[in-house]
Amino acid sequence: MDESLLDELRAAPSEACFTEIFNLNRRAVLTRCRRMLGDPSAAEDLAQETFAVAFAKLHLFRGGVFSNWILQIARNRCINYLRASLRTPEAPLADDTPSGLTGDSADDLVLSGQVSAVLRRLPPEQRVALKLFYADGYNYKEIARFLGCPEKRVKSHLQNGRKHFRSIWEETEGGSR
Amino acid sequence: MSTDAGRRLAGALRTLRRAAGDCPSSEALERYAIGESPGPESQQIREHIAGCGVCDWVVEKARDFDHAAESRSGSLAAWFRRPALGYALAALLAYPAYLGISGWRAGIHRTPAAAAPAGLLPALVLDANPVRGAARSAARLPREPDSVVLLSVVLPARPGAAYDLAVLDGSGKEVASRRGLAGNGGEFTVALPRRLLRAGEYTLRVEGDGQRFQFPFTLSE
Repeated sequence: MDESLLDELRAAPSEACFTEIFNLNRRAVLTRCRRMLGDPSAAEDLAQETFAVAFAKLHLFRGGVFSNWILQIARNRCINYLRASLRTPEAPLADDTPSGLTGDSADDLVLSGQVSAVLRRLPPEQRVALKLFYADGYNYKEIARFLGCPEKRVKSHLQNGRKHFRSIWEETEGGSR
Repeated sequence: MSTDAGRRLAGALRTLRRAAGDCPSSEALERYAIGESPGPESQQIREHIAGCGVCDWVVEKARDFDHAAESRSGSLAAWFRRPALGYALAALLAYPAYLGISGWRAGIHRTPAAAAPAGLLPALVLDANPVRGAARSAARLPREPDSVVLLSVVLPARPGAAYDLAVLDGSGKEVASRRGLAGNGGEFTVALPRRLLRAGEYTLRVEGDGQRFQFPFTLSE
C-alpha cells in the first residue's frame, strides 16, 4: 500500500482515503474471514470489526506491508471468535470405556498414540467432530455452530469419521491388537 | 464400527484429551498455524492438538485463512449498505479524536460533527481508563441511530490471556458482549452499535485471567 495514503489517513482522514484503503483490502479480509469461519454473517461482522480495530489502532502500525498487518488482525479476531464460540466443558467426561482401557496405563498410552496417528489421516472435519463429540461431550448443535455447518453434516462427519477410522485402523498395526 | 470398537475409540480420545491439558493462547496457536512457533512450543502444541478438537480446528482454519483464494465479495456499494459497516466508518472518524486522547487520559471524546466528511457516520469514543481517577465517565450519545460507540480501556492484562468484555445496563442486564479478547498490550477497544444503547447508567466489565475490572459510565441522549 502506498505509504502516502496511510500518512494521509493519519493526518486528515477523508472518505476518499478511507474508501481507497478499504477497497484495497476488503476482499482479502472478507474472503479469509469467510473461509475461516464458514458462517458468512459472522465473517461480515468480523471483517468489518477488523477495519474498525485497524483504523482505531493505526498508530500501532509500525510499517511494512499494510495488508499483512490488517490480515493479521483479522486472523487473530477470527481465532478468538472461534475459541469463544464453544462453551468450556464443565468437567472431563467420565471414562466408561470397556476392555480395560482406563486411559492411564502404558498400554492405553500406546493405544492412544496409535489412535492419534490414525486420526491425523482423517479429513479435518471428521477428526475434529470425533474429538469434540467423544472427548469433550459437545452436542451436535454446538459442534455445528463451531464448524460452521448444519447439524446434519455433523452427524455425517461423525458417521463417516467412525467408518474411515475403522478402515484405516484395520489396515494398520492398530487393527491387529 | 462395532459398539465395542466405538467405545474404545471414545476412550482413547478421552485419554488423548486428558493428556492434552490446557489450551495454548490464541497467539501461540496463530504462530503455530503460520509456522512461526519456536521448536519447543511447536512440539507442545502438536501434542496438545492431538487431543484437543477445538485447537485442532482453530489451527486448520487459521491455515485456511492464509490459503483462501480471493473471490468477489460484491460491490463496495452493497457493503456500504450493511449497517455494520458503520463500525469501520465510525472508527475512521473517531480516529483523530482517539489520537487526541492525551495518553488515554482525557475521558470522553465526541468527534466534531463539523469535521466529519460527508457521508460518514459520527462516533463516540469513551475512554474508560481506570487510572484516570474520575469516579464515573459520562457522555452524550450520538443522535444518529446508525452511529457507533467505541469503548476503550487499558488494563494490566496478561499477554496471552483471553478476556471477556460485557456492557451492562443499570439493572445489570447484559447489553453487549465480546468474548475471548486478547488485550493487545492491555488495550481493549470494542465498537458497539448506537442502537443498543439508551440514556442511563452502564458498567463496562472485563473479566479474564482470574481478574475482574468494572468501569461505570453514564450515557445521556
